[in-house]
Amino acid sequence: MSKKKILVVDDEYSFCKSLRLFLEKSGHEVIVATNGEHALDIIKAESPDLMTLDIRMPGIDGYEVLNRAKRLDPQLFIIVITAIDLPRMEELLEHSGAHALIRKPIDLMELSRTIDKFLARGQTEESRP
Amino acid sequence: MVKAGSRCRNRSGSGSIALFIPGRGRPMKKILVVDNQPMVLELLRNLLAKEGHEVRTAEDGLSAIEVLRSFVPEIIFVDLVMPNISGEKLCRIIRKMDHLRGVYLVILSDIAAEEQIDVTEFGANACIAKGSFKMLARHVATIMDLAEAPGALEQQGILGIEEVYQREITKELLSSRRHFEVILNNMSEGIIEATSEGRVIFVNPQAAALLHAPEEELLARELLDLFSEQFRGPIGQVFQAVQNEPAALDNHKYPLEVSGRQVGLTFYPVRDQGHYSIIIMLRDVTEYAEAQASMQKALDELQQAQAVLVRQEKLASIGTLASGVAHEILNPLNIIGTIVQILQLEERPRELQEQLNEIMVQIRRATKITDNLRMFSRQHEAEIGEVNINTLFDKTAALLEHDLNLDNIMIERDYDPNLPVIEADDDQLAQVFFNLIRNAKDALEGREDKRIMIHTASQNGEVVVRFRDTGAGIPRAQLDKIFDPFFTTKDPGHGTGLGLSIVHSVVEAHGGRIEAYSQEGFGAEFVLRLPVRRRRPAGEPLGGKA
Repeated sequence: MSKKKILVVDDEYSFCKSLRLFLEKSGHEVIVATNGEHALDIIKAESPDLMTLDIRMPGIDGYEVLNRAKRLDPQLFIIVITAIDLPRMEELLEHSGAHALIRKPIDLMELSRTIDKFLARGQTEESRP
Repeated sequence: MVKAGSRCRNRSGSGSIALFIPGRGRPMKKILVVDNQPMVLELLRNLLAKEGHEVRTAEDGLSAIEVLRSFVPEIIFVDLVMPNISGEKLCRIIRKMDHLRGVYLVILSDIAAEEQIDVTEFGANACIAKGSFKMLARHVATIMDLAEAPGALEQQGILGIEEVYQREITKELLSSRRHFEVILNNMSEGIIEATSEGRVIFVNPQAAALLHAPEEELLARELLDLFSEQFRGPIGQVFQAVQNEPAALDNHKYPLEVSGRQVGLTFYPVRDQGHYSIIIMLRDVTEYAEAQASMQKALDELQQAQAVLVRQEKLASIGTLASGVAHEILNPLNIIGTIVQILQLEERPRELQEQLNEIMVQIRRATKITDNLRMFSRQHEAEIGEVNINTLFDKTAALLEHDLNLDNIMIERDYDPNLPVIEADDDQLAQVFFNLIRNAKDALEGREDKRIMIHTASQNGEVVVRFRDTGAGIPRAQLDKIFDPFFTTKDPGHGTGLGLSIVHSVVEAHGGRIEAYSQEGFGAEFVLRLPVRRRRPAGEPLGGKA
C-alpha cells in the first residue's frame, strides 16, 4: 500500500489527533488543520493527495472550503466526515460535491476501506459510505 | 242630537219605577248585566225582572264569560270601565263567540263625557252614558223598546250624553291611561296579566304576537294552557311562589320555547285594593341565546386552536433543541469512538477487548437515540410529493428483507391494485413502515407463526393501511400508551421508545389517524388512515407550517 499525504480537517483537535494516530499506523503522512482557511493554505503549500473534512465548522463555511479546494487541486480526493442522519446523507453527498461521505461517529474500518478504494483506482471516484 | 225614545212614559216619581205594565204582551227576554258596581246591578235587575225578563248578573268580565257558558241572553249590558277585562274587551270576546250571534250589546259608559268612543268599533250596538240612576233606568227602558225593531238601536247616539259632564280627574286618568297604552302597545316585550287563580285578563299586542293568537282568544284562558306541556310545571311553580317580589323563570334550566322563539319570563306581583294579580313579562331571547351559543362555540374553537399552537410551539422548540443537541453530542461520541477503535487495533487481554467492544456498542446506541431524536423533531419540515403506498412499503420492506429472512418471517401482501397516490413525504412514511416492520419483527421473536400482513385500500378520499403481525400482542393496559414518546417494553439497550411515537407524529402531521388494536396472544394490528389530498392535522389553525 503506497504512502499518501492526507490532510485532516476538523475543528475538534482531539478528533484530528486520533485520526492522525490511526492513519499514521497505516503508514500515511498526516497533516492536521482545525479551520478552513488553514486547510486551504496547506493544500496550496503541501498538495496533499486526500483530505477529510467536516462540513459543519465554525468560521468559513465548509462548502466554500470544499469548492475552493477543488478548484485549487482538481485531483484532490475529498472525504466529508460529518454528523448527519441517514435520510440526509445522499442529498449531502450530491450537494457538497465530495467524493465520499462518512458519518460521525466514524467507523475507522470504513474510513480505511474508502481510502483503499481511492488508492486502488488511483483517482477520484464517487464512493458511497 | 239624541232622540229620546217615544212610547208611553210614566213619571210616577215613586220608588220603584215601573215603565211597562207587566204582561202587556212583550215577549220575555233573557238579559245579562255586567257591571262592577253592585248598585247598578241591583237597579237593573229589579227593573228588568219586574218586566218579567230573566236577568243574570256578573261583576266582571271573567264572571260574565263563566255565565255565558250556560246562559244565552238576547241582550247584554256591559259596563265599559271594569277592572281586569274591560267592557270593550269583553265585547270583542263575545263577538267571537258563535253561539252568541245576534245578541245585542249595550255599553254603559262612565266616561262618555270625557272620551268619545264609537262603540260599534268593538261590536256593540248602543251606548248609555251613566248619569243618575233615574236617567239610567229611563235609558234602559228606551233600549228595551228599541230592541224590538232590528236596526233601531244602532241609529241612536249615546243615550244620555247631554246629562253628563266632564270631570277633570277622569280626563287626567284617561289621558294617563292613553300614554300607558301607547307604551304597552309598542313595547318589544310581551305583557300578560293573570289573576291569582291563573286566568288571563290582559294581553298586549307583542304577547299576542309571541303566542300566535289574537287577544280575544287569549283572554280568560288558563295561563298555563298558553305554554307547552313540558314547561307548565316550572311556570306554575314560579307563579305560585311569587308573593311580594318579582321572580323569573330560570331560562337555563327551562329554555322556554314559544312559537319557535326562546322566551324569558319574569313575574311581577300587583296588589291593588284587595285584588292580587300577576303581570308577566315575556322577552324574546332567541337571538341572545343563539349569540351566546355561537360565542361559546367560538371560544371552544379558539381554546382548541390555542392548545394546538402551544403544542406546536413546544414541539418546535424541542425540535430545535433536539437537533442542536444531537449534533453536539455526536462530536464527543465520535472522539470517544475513534479512540476506542484505535485501542482495539492492538492485541489486548480478552477482558479489555470485551470492555472496549461494549463501549462501541453503547456509542452506537447513543447514536441511534440522537438519530431518532432528530427524526422526531423534524416533523414540521415535510417535503411533499406523490407517494404510492404499495411501492413505498415494498421498498422499505426490502431494506429489512435480510433480517426478516434470517428469522423466517413471512410478509403477506393484500394490496389494492388501484390504490391512489397520496400527497405525502415519502421519507417520513418510509420511516413509519420501517418502524412498524421492525417492531413486528421484535414481537415475532420466539413465535411459532411468524407472519406480517399488510392490506391497503382506499376509502372516502383516504388510503387505509392495515398492518398486522402474529406476535404475542399488546396488553390492554399498554394499548393507549404505546404511542407515547419513550414508552418502551424492551430492555434498556434494545429500543429507544421513540419508534411508535414517530409513527404517530408523522401520520398526524399528514392529517391522518392511526389506531392500534390487539388481542393478547394473537397479535397486534395498526390501522393507518392517510388522506389522499394533503390535509392539515386536525385542529391546526390556518397559517401553520406546510
